Amino acid sequence: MSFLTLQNIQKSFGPVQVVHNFDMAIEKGEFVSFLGPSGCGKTTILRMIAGFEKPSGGTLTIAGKDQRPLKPNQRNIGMVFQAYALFPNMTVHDNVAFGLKVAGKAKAEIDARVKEMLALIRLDHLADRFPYQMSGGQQQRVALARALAVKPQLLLLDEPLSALDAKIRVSLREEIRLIQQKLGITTVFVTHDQEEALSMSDQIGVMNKGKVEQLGTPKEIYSTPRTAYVADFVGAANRIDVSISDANADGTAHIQLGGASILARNTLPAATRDGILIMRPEDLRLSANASAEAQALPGTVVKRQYLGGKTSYKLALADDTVISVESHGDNHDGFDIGTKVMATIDPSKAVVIAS
Amino acid sequence: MIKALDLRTPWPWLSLAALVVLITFILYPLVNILTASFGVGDVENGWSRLLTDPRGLSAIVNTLILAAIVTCTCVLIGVPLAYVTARYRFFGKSIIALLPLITLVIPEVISAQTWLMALGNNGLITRFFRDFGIHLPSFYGWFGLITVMTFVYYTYVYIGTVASISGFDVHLEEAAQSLGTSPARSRIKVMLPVILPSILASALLVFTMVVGNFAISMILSNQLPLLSVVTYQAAVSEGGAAPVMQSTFATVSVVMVMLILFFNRWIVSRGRFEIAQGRGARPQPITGWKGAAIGLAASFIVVVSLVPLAVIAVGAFTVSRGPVMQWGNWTLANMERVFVTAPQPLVNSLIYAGAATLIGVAFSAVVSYLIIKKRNAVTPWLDYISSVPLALSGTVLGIGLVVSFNAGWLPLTGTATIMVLALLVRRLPFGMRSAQATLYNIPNSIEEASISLGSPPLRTFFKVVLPMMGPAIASAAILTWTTSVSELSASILVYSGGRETLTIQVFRLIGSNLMAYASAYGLVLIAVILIPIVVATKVFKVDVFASK
Repeated sequence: MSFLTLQNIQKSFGPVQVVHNFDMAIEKGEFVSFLGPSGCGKTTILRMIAGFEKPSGGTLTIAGKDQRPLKPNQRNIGMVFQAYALFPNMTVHDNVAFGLKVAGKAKAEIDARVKEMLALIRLDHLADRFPYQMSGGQQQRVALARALAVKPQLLLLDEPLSALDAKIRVSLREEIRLIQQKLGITTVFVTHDQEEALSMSDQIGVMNKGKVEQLGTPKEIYSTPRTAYVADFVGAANRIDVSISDANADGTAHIQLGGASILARNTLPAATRDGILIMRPEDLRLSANASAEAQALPGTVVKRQYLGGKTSYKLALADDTVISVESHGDNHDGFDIGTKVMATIDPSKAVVIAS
Repeated sequence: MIKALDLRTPWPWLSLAALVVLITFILYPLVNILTASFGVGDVENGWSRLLTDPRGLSAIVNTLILAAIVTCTCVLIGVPLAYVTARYRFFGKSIIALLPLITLVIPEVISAQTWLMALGNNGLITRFFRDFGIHLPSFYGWFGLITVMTFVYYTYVYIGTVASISGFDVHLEEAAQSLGTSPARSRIKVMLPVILPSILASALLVFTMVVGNFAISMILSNQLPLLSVVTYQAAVSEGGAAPVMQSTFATVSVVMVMLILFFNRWIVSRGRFEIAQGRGARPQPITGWKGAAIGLAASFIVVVSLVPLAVIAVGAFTVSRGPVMQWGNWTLANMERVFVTAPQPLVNSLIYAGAATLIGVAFSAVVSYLIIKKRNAVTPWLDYISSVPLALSGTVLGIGLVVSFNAGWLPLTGTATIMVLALLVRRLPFGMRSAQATLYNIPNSIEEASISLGSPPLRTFFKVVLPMMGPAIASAAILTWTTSVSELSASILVYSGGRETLTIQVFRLIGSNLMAYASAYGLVLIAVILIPIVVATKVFKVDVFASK
């Protein structure tokens, strides 16, 4: 049995059902992200795990133990909040010591543990500061230390980075992941930021309207989105309605698009012909070759946006379908508007999914 | 940034003019009080006389004891009431939303009067119990003072505490719970320390209001000496010519309030936690016997606060012969007196409060604009001096005006001007606070946009800034109006024959024990206060409490 299991969890606020039949199993030591837009129910699920909300139905166990009869303070779960939620009237030391004091630990033990925790987050020199004397990033590290000090069986992170500046966000997400791996603590992380989810997680559950659309490793989620919603939410994608001409036995299919034919991976059920072709802009390669090539879509540059390290193009294909292409490398902005170009794609990078 | 005075623009000249006005009518009277306490002409130094005056000394001690007790009782009622309204939903909760209104609407003199009509020697409830052979303790003295002041002032604790509990980030409580504390304990360990500074601040406000209280103290203290009572009595017996003892007592009161304000500032600065505004807790419904009990207790408090309105409404139409109320017999004679026989107090109230409101709001708008948007070397002083009246009781202000403008270079005694001045100075901080709060929220760029489009600065102020301040000015006007109409302690010291206002009239009628007439004037007084509030909130949708 998995360490944390959520089975058929439901939650309604009045007449509004925000979580539908939610299932998930998380192994010990895993870092799992719930990724989704605001209002998709991800925070509600996190709060149900913590015990701040009661599920309307379903079961919730940690290490085989039913959590539903337990109050939040009986669950031994560490939680980090978006707005830090440090106790404003206590110093850093007292914040981190809070849970240990509640547990009735001896003073010497508390001091040692607090010291250890502050060393872990590299803030041992700020033990006597009050929260308002610290930056947001520092406060959030203290909040993490406070949650971890009591050696919780599970760590919950509720959008802990979204109140921070972009640079701090990147460095803190690396730090959180390192600490998580060092301690081997099972962690559930809620975010709406795909980059955070992709860079930190063992598993990502992409959520939509109270349901998990796809659960998988970051790589699976990105390269093999199972639905158009996932493809769209994680990274940018060209989504084109297509009809496959013939499905091959090796899981590929030919597609007619803009006067050309390309090979793509096919995930449609047998006998289904209509689907959506997903191609990531950065997987398309531009070239000036006029002659027809395999896997190439001929088109005309209609828009160009220089973005420093890359250039974003819009191409109009022969049938007026417009696709986005991102060009990297030397001379990535070398195609003028009006130029006839070829956009090629590796068959493994183009996927047809059910519409 | 404070800039040197640039005399080519109108702003420094306006600032200097405002400074002269504020110094003349706020600082100069205050300085006069301080100097007069050390003796005038042949009259001996007030401080040495105070040391040999047992009545004066016990007034100081009694006032401190009374303020301490009332502060405690107000906290005991206000904090639990605030907690249940901020955190729970229960039957009757909407009535409690009326509380802030009640404090504004009912002048203290009316509260004191109505409690007397209910529990005084000849009061409704007193007589009711007497019929059963039960004799209630006398309402005069400590019993009445503590009861009435508690029910008048607990709302200040309630309002302050409700705001801080509602703004308290519920995630802090959740963080504590996830670290192992029970819900009840997390409230004590995490919420209480965070909201404590605002509870203390509102408690200290109550303390200063008790120290400065005039109407309730005068009506209910009877033989018990209290600071505001002995100050008033000294002022009446000395007049404006040799105002030594009144100035001494007034100085004591100023020092007391100053000390409390410094203490308050110290506490606030110690407890200044910068909390990222989180979401407050959703009020939880409580039902069953708990909900019923809380709803009942809360409603009881509110009903008791509302009793004055009911008693006065009945009293205004009750037949009386001298001090004897003939309950159950109805008449319109009392009202006829207010509107026909002796309407002067009503007319005076309308004129004086109207003038004070107009001048006060206009002055506040301009001076606040200078303080916030056109800072120069003078404007910080405008800010300090205009907030001084907050620390002065009405009695002190009245004495200051009498002492300063009794004779000499600007004799105002006996004029309508000094009446308006008393109201104006006393209520100036209301208008200032309201206008400043709004101006902070008007970005400079809006004004700069107007100027860059070719509109000169003064025109920009009138065409762009002033309209944006509109709602705040309206709410400041209503606050100034209601509090001016109910003002008593300053105006009673500066008024002369024929210049009585409604509050002064009610106060004098209570002194003569003519409760039916007092009720009639009181009812009209409440109407004069209430009608603009109702019209403003219902018709013009003004948020009267925006600046509170």
